[in-house]
Formats: sequence, C-alpha cells, structure tokens
Amino acid sequence: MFSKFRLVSFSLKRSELSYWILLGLLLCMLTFSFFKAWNSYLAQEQSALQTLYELGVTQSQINLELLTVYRTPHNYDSLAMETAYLHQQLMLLEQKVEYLPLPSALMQLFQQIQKEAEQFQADIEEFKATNSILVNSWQYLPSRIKETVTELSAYPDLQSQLTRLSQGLFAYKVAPANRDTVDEREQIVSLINQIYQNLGSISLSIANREAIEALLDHGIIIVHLQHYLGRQVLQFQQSPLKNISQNTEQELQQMLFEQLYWITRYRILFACTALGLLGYGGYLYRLRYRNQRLRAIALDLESKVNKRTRQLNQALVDVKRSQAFLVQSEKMSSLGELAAGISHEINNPTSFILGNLIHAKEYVTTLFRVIQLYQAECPSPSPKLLETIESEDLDFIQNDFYQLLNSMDNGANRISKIVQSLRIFSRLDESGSKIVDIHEGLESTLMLLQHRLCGHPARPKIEIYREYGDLDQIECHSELLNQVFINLLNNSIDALDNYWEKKQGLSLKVNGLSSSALPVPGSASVQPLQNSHIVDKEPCTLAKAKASVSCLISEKPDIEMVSETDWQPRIWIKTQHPQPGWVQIRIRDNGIGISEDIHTKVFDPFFTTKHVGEGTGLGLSTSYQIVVDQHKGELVLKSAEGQGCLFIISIPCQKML
Amino acid sequence: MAGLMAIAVVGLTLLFRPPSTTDFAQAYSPQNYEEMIATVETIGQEPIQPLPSNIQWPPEQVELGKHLFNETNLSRNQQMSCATCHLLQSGGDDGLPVAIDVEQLPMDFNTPTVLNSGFNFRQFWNGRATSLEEQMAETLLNPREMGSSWESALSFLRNNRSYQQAFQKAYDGNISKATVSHAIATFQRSLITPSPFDAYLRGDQQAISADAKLGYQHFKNYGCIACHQGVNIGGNIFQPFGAIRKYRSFFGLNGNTVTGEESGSDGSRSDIFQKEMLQHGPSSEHFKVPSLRNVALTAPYLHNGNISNLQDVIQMMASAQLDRTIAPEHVHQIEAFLNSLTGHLPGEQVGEQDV
Repeated sequence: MFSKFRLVSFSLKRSELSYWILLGLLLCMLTFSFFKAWNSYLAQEQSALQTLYELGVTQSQINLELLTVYRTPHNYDSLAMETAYLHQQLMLLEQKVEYLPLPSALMQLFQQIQKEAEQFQADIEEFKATNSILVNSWQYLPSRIKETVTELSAYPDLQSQLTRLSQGLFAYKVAPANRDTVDEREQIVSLINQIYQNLGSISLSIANREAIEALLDHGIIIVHLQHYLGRQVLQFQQSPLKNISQNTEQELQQMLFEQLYWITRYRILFACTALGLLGYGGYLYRLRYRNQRLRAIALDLESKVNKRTRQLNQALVDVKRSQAFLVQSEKMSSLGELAAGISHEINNPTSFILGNLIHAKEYVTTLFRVIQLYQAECPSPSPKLLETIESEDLDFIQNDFYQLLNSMDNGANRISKIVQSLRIFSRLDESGSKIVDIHEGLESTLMLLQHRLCGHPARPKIEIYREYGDLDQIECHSELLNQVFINLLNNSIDALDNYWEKKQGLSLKVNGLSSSALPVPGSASVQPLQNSHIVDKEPCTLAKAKASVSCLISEKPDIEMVSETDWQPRIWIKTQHPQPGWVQIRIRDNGIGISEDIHTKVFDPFFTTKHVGEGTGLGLSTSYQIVVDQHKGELVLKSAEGQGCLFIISIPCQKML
Repeated sequence: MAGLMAIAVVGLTLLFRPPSTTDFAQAYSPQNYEEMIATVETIGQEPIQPLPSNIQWPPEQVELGKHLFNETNLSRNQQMSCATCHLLQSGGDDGLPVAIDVEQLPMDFNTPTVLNSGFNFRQFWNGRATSLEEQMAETLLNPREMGSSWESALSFLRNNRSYQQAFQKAYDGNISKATVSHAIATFQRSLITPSPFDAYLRGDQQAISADAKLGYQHFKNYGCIACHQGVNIGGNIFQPFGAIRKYRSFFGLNGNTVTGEESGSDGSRSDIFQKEMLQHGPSSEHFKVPSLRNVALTAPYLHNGNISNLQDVIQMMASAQLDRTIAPEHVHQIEAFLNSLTGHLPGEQVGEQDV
C-alpha cells in the first residue's frame, strides 16, 4: 500500500504533488465551508421566527380589540379578523416547525404554544358570546328598570328595592374591573334574592311579574358576567400563550443568533477559500502556460541547433570533398602534365624509331640483296668468309632480322598508341568542356588499366563485357569523366582481387590443397609470353594488352576457369540513353561488393576500406564531386556484400549533336 | 477562462431575471376571512358596516369557480352540484327546512346561504370549518352530501378539455385539491350582495323606507344588535340558544335563591361555552350567529328550519335570546329593516330580486 503510494507520488514530480495536495486541501475547505455556511433550514427558522413575532403582534392586537369591545356595544368584525389571523399564523407556524430539526426544548415550547392557542381561541369565542350578553343587559336594564318602577307605583317596597338595585348595579358597573367587588356583588345578589322573596309574597299581573323576573335575570347576568369578564380580560392580558410565545421567540432568536454567528464565519471562510482557490488556480494556470512556452522555446532551439548542425555537417562534407577534389585534381593535373610531357618526349624518339624503321627495313633488304648478290657473284668465297658466315649463322640472321624489325615496329606502334591514350586520357591539350565521345574516353581508360586487367599468378584475367549503346556525343569535361572511369574501374578491379583472394583462402581451407597443386590462373595465356624473346621489364603488360584486346573484341572469355566454382572476374560496361537528354554509364563487377552499412559513407572523402597506404579514400568522393557537382548528374551505387556492385553514372547532355 | 465567463453570465442572468407576473398577481384579492374583513371601510360609529365595493378577483378564477360550482360531475351520482342546494337566484339556499341528502333523505340542518359567506368567520352552523376551502372539501367528501372523492373529482377535471383550458388560464394548468377548492371558494367570496341598507349606511337617506329606519333603531334598542353586528350582521360570533334564560338556572336560581358564586366546574372558568365545540361535532346548544343579509329570501329559518315566517322568527328570537316580547308594530318595522338587507349580485338586475 505504502509502496504503491510512493510509486504514485514518485510518478508525479515532487513539486507537482505539492500543487495537487494544496489544491485538494483548498477544495475540501471550500466544500466544508459551503455546507456549513449554507444551512438549508436557516430560512425556515427565520420565517418561523418572523411568524412568532407576527403572532405576538396579533396577540397584542387581539388584547387591544378585547379592551375595545369589553362592555361596550361594538361589532366583533375586527376581533374575529384578528382571531382568524391568529389561527392562520398558528397553522403557518405548525407547518414551518414541523420538519425543522429543533432542540426538544424548543419543540415542546412550540407544542405548548399550539395547545395554549387552542385554549386562547376558545376563551375569545366565549368572551365574545358572554360579552354580547352583558352588553345587551346593560343596554336593556336602565330604561327597563325606569319603566317598571313607574308601573309599580302600587308597590313602594318593590319600587324602592328596584331603585336600590338600579343604583347598586350602576355603582357596580362603573367600578374598575380589577377592584375587589365581592361585597357589592353580595349586596346586589342579596337584593335580588329579597326581590324574589317579595315577588312571592305579593300578587302582581303576569306581565309585570315576567318583566320583573326579566330584570332580575339581567341583574344576575350583570353581576356575574361583569365580574367574570373583567377577570377574563385581565387574564387575556397575561395569557400563558403570550409568555410562552415570547419565551419561544427568545429561545429561537438565541439559536438563530448562534447559527448566524457561525454561518457568518463559515461564509467568510468560504469567500476566502474561494478567492484563494481562484488565485491559486490562476497561478497554476499561468505556471502551466509559462512551462508550455518554455517547452516550445526549447523545442524551437533544439530544432534550430539540429538544423545548424546539419548545415555544418554538410559544409564539412563539402569542404572535405572539395579538398579531396583539389588534392586529386592537382595530382591528376600534375600527373597529366607529366604524362603529357613524357608522351611528348617519347613521341619524338618513337617517331624517329618508326620513321627510321622503314628505312632500316629498306636498308636491310638492300643489304641482304647485296649479300645474296655477293654470294651469287662469287660462289666460292674465301674460307675465312665462309667460316664467318657459318659461325655467325647468316641465314638465321637473315630470317630473324625481319622478325626483329617487325617486332620493333610493333613495339614502337604500341608506344605511340599508349602515348596517344595518355594524351586522350589527360586531354591536356583540350581544356574546358568539349564535345567528346564517351566510348573513346572509356577505351583509353581501359588501355591505361591494361596492366591491372590482365591475369597474373594471383588471379585470372579480368574479362570486360562491353555493351555500348548508340551514344550521341556529349559536351563534358572529358578529362574529369575519364578520372571517374578510372576510379570506378580501379575499385572494381580491387573488389575482384579481394574476392578472388577470399575465395582462394576459402578453398584452401576447405580442400586442404597445397599451393603447388593449385592451378595457376591465367597460365594458359601468360605462359607463352614468358618464353618470348622480347626483353621487356613488363612482359605481362604487352601480352596482356594483346590478350585483353582480343577478349574485348570477342566479348567471350577465352580462359577457362579451373577453380571448382564457375566464378570468373568480370566487368560489364554498359552505355545507353535511359531517357532523352541523359547519358548513362553502368559499370558492374561481380566482385566482393559493398555492404549496405557503408553505402552512405562510400562517397565521403577519405573513407576507405583499404589498408593504410593502399587507398586514399578520395576516389569515389572525387568521382561524386565530378559527376554530381560539375556535371549536374547522378552517381548511384547498387550493391550488396558478395554480390558485386554496380555504379550508375547519369549525365545530362544539354547539347546533343 | 471561457467556462468561468459562461458561469458568470448564467449566474448574472438568473440573478437579474425579471420577476414573473405570478409574483405580484392577485395582490388585491382577499384569500380568506381576515382579508375579506380587512377590505371593509369603516363608516361612522354604527355597529353594522356596509359591504365593501372595491374588491377585485381574478376573473378567470371566478369564472372557473362558477363552472365548478355548477358541475354535477363532481358528485358521486353525477346529479348533485353545489348549486343543487345553494340556488343563487333564491337567496343562496334551497328554501327547504333542512337539506336533502343524496339519497333524498332529510339531513340535520337548514342550508345556510352561500351569499356573503366570505364574511363568515367560520363555516357550517357550528363553525367547524375555518375557511370556505375547508367547507367545500368536507361537503364534497361527505357521503351524505356530494359523496365524491378527490381522486374521481380530479381525474374528471383532468380529462375534461374545457376544464384543462380554464385551469390553464387561471392556475397555469395546475389541477389539484388546492386549486379546485380555491377556485370554488374564490367564486363564493365573490358572491357579495350590496343592499339598500348599505347605501343608507353610506349616507343615502332615501335608500330605505322610514319603517326600515325605525326598525333599525328597534333592532338596536331591543338588543338584537348585541349579536347581529359587523359587516355581515352576524356571522362572527357563537351564541347558545336561549342565552338569557340560561343564566338563571346556571347561577343556581333554583328554589328562588341566587348565589354569589359561579357553579362552574373549575371555579375559575365558566363552561357556558363549550370549548370542545370548536374542534368537535355539532352541539345542540351553540350555534354560529347567522348573517341577516338576504334574510327575507332564506326562509325557512333557524338551524332546523322550524319557522317559515320572518315576523314569527323575530318574535321567537326576542323571547328566546333576549327574554322579552316585542310590540307588533315594532316587529313590522324590524321586518322592514330586514327586508332592506336584501341585496343583489353585482351582475344581476335589481328587479329579479323581488321575484
């Protein structure tokens, strides 16, 4: 449990966790203070208090009305109205209090109010009924007594008794309600009793007797009801309903005051919390906004840095490439100049040789004809001469000399051809872009590479397959393009060499054969040349040149592979127009190939897989520079390890002839 | 931010929405007895006050109440309405000694008039209902009267298209116990009959005859006025039957001796007035003093309809309640005064009242 919490808490950032905790606390406080501050019963309690207050007012009104109607002829509409108000308010109060959660003491007080109010209302109805009778008696009695007294002139006793009754009642009437009137009451009652006794002793007319009895009835009513009603009015003024409702009002008010006291504080707390929450929310919102902006700026910066880094890398690559190109082109240009100088220097002597050889042949022919003539003219030469002829083997010389001359002729021709190739390759005589034949450049390049193409003890001869298309002449820097060709072809030859070495190593291991048992590759074509008479530092070169030329023409391998596999080192060269306006040269070999990992790197300057000292790592990058940058073309490599590689050079030919 | 703004806008809209018309409606239409009395204008010192002339009720509610008053479908047998016993054209009662129930059998009491009943402080002879609404509900449910139930009455009203429309106008379509009884009670409160005597009280000396004026003086002098007072000339007080004579026996006037002390059971309070009567059923001794308005039209008289003649009942009440006899010419004059209390409903022709 704890570890889980820790996990959660650590998944949030520490600072974020504290934000959330504070936010949660504020929300809790808000909810708490809200429920405390908005008491749903407060309004009902207040309205109950209001009703209680109105009840008190109505009671006072009723008391006022009671005093107004007491003993005076009046209509009861106002009193009935106030009583109805009281009834209405009591019902309202009952409804309001019914569902209020009040303390039991208060509830009891409210129940007492209802009970007392019932009594109060009944008392009022009784008061009204009794009061109207009393008032009637008062109104009726004085005039009636006067009438009756005048009618009873025959009975002075009765007259005086009735007069005394009238006076007594009048005195009783004007006495204050709160005065103790027991004595007066007793006197009047005894007077009434005396009159009754008198009535029994004297004979009267029935009408008079009934009139006197009625008078006495009213007298009784006055005596009893005035006393009774006076007490009632006083009781109304101090009715228990009034006390209880006042007590209840005070209690309820006290309760409400206390509630309001706390509610006010909770409302203040609520307002403060709400303000705090708002402020804090705003602060968090602002923080989040700023964070977002910072993140956006950081992202922007990062992308800018990346962009700049890419640009710098590109610039570095460009610088390296142009540096390499400079190095290479400088090298090539000095080499070209050297080659041009040499070829020029060689050309002269070679032309001497070639020119003189013709004459030499003529002279030799002439000399041999002279010798034959000598032999014919003098069939018997001196023995010394014969001995010399014999010892020197003149016949052989005669035969061999022509061969020798022919061989010299061949050699000199080859020299001039090589020199021509050198000149074509370097094109130093033609600077800038020229309209050239790509095939011519390819052939001259192949010529210069003859020494590497031919077979040698380590590897069989490399076969060249040409698939020259019907190419238009294009405008280009031919000396640069020739450099590209030589670089690519060199690479292919290296790859074939490597592959052969690898295969040999493999077969050695697999077959466990001794090196002497190995068939010597290319021996079939090379062997005879080794026996040649020609003293040549590079016997292979010449022979290979011939051989390769023959194979170039035949386009078929004339050397049989003696390895147990059918693999033979081959290079395919194909030229074509892939689409109008473009020339494509595809150079393919079946060598070791280039693994795909380094495809992106092979065109980088100074990148090489060769051993230190063997390669500069500049060949392919220079080629790329020449094709892509200077000729606005494309140089594409397609290869996989062990499957040979294919370079595709595509050059736009803007001006087609 | 947009959410906060929306909340603020909604809150302010709710806070400052204009008051609906129902908040102030019906401000000047009395809803019960005390408000009815509050509309009475006090003129002079007379114990009797004229009927108010300035009360306005919502006409839709009165119209609806009138229809409900005459609706027989509210009763169990669908033949009885309020108007069956309370005929507005003949004094607001049925003219029978005692009411006839739904089974055509006589009931206990004479039918009180419905006219000016809004000025009675309580309803029924014994005043057990404190409002016209209560009275109406009891009559509707009483098995001997309309014998209906609220469920059937309300379901009838709710399924009646014209009542739906009427309730829609008067109570926003709310058909309930409260609105039905309120509509009928409002209609009853609107049944006010200003009479020539009211005009006299307002100062028109020619409104009533000289006999009637003399009759009014006798009415006051003989003490009738002690109970029959107020705007409704009665209807705001209880009295026992035989008020004066009652005291002779009550205070121990047996064997011709009167004692000075009351013989009440608790010594401090008299039980002349039985308080239980307010809460419990009818008493044979205590009755609400009835209104004397339209008394000429509401014969026969008294709670049991014993007396069918106005002069007889004047004599009878004088001897029973006031313990005296009234001279025949005075009786005649009082009768003239009582006749001047006959009023007419505001919409009616005066001539119809004499029929």
